[in-house]
Amino acid sequence: MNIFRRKPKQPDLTRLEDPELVLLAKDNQQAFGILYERYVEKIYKYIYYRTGNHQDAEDLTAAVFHRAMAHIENYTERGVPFQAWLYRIAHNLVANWHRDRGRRKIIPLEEFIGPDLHFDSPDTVAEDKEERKALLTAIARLPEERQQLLYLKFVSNLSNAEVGEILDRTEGAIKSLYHRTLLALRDDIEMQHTRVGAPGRAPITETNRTEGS
Amino acid sequence: MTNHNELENLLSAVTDALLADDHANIDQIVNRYAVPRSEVEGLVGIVRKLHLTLIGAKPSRRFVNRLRSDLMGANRANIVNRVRYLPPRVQIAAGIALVAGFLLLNRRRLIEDAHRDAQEVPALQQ
Repeated sequence: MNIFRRKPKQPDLTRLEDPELVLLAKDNQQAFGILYERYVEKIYKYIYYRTGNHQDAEDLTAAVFHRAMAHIENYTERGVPFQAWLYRIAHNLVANWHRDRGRRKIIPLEEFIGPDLHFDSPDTVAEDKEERKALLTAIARLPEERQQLLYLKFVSNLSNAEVGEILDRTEGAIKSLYHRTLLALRDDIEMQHTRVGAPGRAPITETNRTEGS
Repeated sequence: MTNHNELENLLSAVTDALLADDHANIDQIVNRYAVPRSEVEGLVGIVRKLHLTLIGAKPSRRFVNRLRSDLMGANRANIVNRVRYLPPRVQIAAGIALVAGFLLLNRRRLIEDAHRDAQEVPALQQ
């Protein structure tokens, strides 16, 4: 009779690091579930900014995790951590999504502009919104890799090293790219300010330009 | 002439600090680097605006739970679910391949039947 024998205690999977979880996830759905909970929000946020709508962000996020689950058996961490691998899947699916649509994406501006800051006068609030619109316009004009860098840093909250793993660049190269991106944004916003008063602002579109350097 | 690496390090440090804490003391960080303020201010202003503007959109809990059960449930080996998330072109190609395969098998079976019938008729006639 072994009814009194204690069942072996299940390890607390939530405490495990990604590499350990990935190894377990190859034949343990629960381990994959922990990885899913860890990254679903980050991946969703990233895709949302790249697609501009919730419906497509949901569909593509689902596709990312279905693909990750289907291929996790073959995944080995050779310099590309699990998080970077997921973002690369997301990037490829978003690129396919843009290609399949075959058109320039119109980003719904109002949705992207965060909550109003607590300024006193309505004029200041309006001015602030205009500034943020100008910033989004400038971001949309950046080459794709630079946009990706900004979304990974500010939306997904990733460090330069983590961004480097995803974009396959060194940390130093990311710092340099970030600096150049900020300079480009500053110049673009200044140009927009000099054009203030021009009738009708161009809609924000995402071009599929690629980084030349 | 400002050392580019200094400026790059400063901008990354300011960004990391802001992302970690909205009320981070930016002046203190800027003072640590030998970069003229005039060169930094405009760029730090952009970093602040980016931080305020690029706010993440959270997925709904319903979606997260539904996808979780989709992934974890009995659907793991469900081919329909896997096909559902493939790009449309691949779905169409898969559909065409499926229909073509079915037709090919059927045609082969019909040819074999006709061949068998052709062999059986002379035997019956004898």
